[in-house]
Amino acid sequence: MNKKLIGFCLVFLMAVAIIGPDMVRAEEPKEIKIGATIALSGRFKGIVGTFDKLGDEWAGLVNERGGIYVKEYGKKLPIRFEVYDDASKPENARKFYEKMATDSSIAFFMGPFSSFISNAAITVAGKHQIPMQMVCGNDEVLFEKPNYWRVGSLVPAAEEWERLVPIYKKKGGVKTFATLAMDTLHNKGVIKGFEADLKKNGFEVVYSAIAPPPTKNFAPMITKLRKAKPDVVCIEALSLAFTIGFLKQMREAGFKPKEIIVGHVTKHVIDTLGPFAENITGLAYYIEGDTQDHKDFLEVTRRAGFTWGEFMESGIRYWAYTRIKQTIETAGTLDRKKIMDTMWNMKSKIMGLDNYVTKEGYGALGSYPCQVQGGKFVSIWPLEKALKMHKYRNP
Amino acid sequence: MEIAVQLVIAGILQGGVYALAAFGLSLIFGVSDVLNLAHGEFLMLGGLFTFLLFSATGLNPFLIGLMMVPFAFCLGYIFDRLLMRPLAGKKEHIRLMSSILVTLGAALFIEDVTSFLAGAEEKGVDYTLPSFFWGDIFISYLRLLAVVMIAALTVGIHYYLKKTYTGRALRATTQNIRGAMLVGVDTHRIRSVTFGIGSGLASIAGVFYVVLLSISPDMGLGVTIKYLCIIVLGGLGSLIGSLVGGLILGLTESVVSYYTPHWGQTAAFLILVLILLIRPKGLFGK
Amino acid sequence: MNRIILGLVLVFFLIFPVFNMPYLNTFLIILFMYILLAESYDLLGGYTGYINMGHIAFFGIGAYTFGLLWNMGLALYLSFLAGTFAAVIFAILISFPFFRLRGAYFSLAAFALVKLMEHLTLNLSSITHGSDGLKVLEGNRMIPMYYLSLLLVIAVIAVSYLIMHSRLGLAMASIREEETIAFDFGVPVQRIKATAMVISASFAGLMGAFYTWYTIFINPSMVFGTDIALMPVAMAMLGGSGVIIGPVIGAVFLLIVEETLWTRFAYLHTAAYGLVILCVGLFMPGGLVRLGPLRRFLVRIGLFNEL
Repeated sequence: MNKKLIGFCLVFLMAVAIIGPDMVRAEEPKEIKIGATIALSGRFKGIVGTFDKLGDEWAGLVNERGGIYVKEYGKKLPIRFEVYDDASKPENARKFYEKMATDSSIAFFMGPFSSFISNAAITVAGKHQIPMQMVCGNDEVLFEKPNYWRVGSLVPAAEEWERLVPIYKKKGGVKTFATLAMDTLHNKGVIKGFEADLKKNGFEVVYSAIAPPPTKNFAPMITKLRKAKPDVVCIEALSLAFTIGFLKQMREAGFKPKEIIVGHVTKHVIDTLGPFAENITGLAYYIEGDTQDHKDFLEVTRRAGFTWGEFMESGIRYWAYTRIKQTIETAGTLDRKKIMDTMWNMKSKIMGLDNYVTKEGYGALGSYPCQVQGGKFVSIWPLEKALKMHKYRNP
Repeated sequence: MEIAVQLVIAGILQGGVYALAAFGLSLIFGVSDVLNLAHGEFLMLGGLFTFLLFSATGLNPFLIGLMMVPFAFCLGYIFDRLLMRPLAGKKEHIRLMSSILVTLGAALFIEDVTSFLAGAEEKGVDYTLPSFFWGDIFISYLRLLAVVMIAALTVGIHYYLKKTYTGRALRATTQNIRGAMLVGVDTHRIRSVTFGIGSGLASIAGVFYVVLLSISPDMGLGVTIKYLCIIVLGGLGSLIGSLVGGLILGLTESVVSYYTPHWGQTAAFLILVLILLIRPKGLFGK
Repeated sequence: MNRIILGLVLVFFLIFPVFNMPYLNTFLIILFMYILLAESYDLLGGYTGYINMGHIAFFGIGAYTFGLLWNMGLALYLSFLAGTFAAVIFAILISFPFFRLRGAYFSLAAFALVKLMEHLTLNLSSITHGSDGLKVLEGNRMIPMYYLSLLLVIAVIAVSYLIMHSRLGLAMASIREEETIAFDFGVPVQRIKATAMVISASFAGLMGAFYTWYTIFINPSMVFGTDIALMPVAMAMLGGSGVIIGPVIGAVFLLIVEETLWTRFAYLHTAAYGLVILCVGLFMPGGLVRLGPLRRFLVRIGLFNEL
């Protein structure tokens, strides 16, 4: 009988030890830790799976220069990411953020990918009062309720495509638009904003559809879409399979609109479509420039093994990392409340663009028009540059 | 009127691709009586290797696909030999449970290892054949190829089952496993052969997927579920059933998507559930 | 002696929140949820032999019904009950047509039903908000959720125990072993199966309601998704179907394996996870609980209750 009791206790202790929380250390920090979850598996893996490497390379670059200067301690501290896999599910994200919340050596949280996972994450940040810099999440649901402990990086979803409109307005030559959005919170929000923008500027939306993520057969939609005779076909989908399926079937149908806009273009889309991808217009969170930030960003992506055009979301990551760095430098301390205040109030420039946070918490990074030219994704902004470089597919 | 024709054609062509993948699954279920949740992985692997070889050599993807069928066959054979054979002798619902666990575990394993080795992103092959146009109606040659292929396969497999020894042994095993053993059929080998054939068919479907659409390592479970539903609709173990099931689903999706794109998939599942309720053994089930 | 140990374990779980370990707390909530889902699945799957791969449909229906009604202003407790009720009604409705199917047909049709529910919730967006997701009143409910889940798990185990030692249980086992013969002997087969499904559904539905209340924000793929659908079924089978403690062990085992692998290996943990499931399926067809040593141990401490 005693053996049973001992056996039970042993098993229990083992279980607790394996998953037990970290010990709490209260002393001068030796490094700055940033906690985050990324979708290293699950359905978002193809979009952000490589970004843990990106984070590590960025941290590596910063550490090569000594780290981040924290005035309170009068020296530079190295920076490190602690990343967990949320498998593209919110309850896992929540679980890991809770785990990291007990570690007081973590100075910052960085958000996960997608609004609905971010939603679970910000509840933890708010509960434990840990500053969270969201990355890929800009839908209303995140900002409806005030939450002091989270800020975003991006402009609201509805504004994502707004820079495209001036190009068409100035350039002329197109009048009618057709849109297809994948049935997710984000994609619908983006297209709704775009359509409103179009209407305000005198363009006409002749076809507007939403299709569920697993759709494979686009032929019926293309048949109907064609009849509406749009000049421009727009497709906004988080899933590459969706985008590729649609475009391939448009090709099969022999339908050649004047212009095609694809919300999430990556290298894989370009490779899969071959010459058909030429002159597809898209967006990226990046514009060309000469700043130190640009050099750093290109270096970090190079080290991580890809280019900004291959994974367009990488620009957002860099923005978020830099915000964190600038916040710590500006605040001069790792005290959570002071950091959070700085997060809200800080105004600076990143990659030559204005960096600030709106009163609801939206960030300032928007997306900028690009086009596939010569098999590569090329940035075509500002407006003057766009007017010169942009080409219609079928004039 | 034109639209109706286009929709029907689109539906049939899409259904053809569905049926191609479902065929193999139906065959496997008919003989081994197990739910193979890893079937989609063979489809994905077929597409993946086609993509890799195409990227490396630029050969016609269908040629590559055809060359890969023997490999897929071997893979399927080994899979069955190692993993499914031990389950053969068990009681019916234990077998069902074990097959779910084993194939699910295998599917998760294959999916994760593949995405680790080959990258988790979408991969697609850029290979087109012009479409055939008839007024405003278009028929993609590629999809036509899929339908032709499945027609050829149906005839081929029918012949195989009727005339060859292995084929007849296969049918015998499907009908009555004890009886087959009594007349000297090596049912274990037959099962492995069937699994191999089924996997080969899945890999061919994978080639169509990677050319017509795109594939990614995590697509496996999703397509498996869809195809399992198709063969249930058609009747487990019936080849005609999987053909008809695929066609019905393709047509439903096509027609409904035209009017309300976001109800396309829902309508397909609705039809599936309704048909099963009316005919509990599926359309052509035994 | 056994009772004392069990009692200690129970007390430990009851006072656990006192220790203030939010990570472990969150983990336990997830654990209880999966134990509940696996155990309630097994009421139908393990006892009657009808492998209901669509079990999660009850969970999702409970989740959405609760969310919608609570948002409309219905009192909290009534909303919980409504969620349970909706799942029960659904179970009754589908029991008539679905129980005419057998074996794999039943399983796959049930699964198709889940996919159908997922698509329906996605499309009927005027009611369910579709892909935007359903949001309910915010609040930090970790501790109450912990207790609610724990109580529900205790309840489902208690009910399983009662059924197992009742005539209902016997009838269910007879259906599993030889349904036609049971029918010939006068067992009211349809009624028994429906009862099993209803009990199974009620627990899942209530858990769904709790889930929405706790996570605040649900969407179709969170509550009807393929992965969450297959997991409880896999857990019950892996742990040992037809044994009360089977699904519990299955859920605990898989979640601990998942968690350990997850935090140790950033990559390939799913592959390792799959391998584990595969090995158990291959080498331990009756589930973990029927493995020689474990089975003997459980029998000795009186926890091995098999139907």
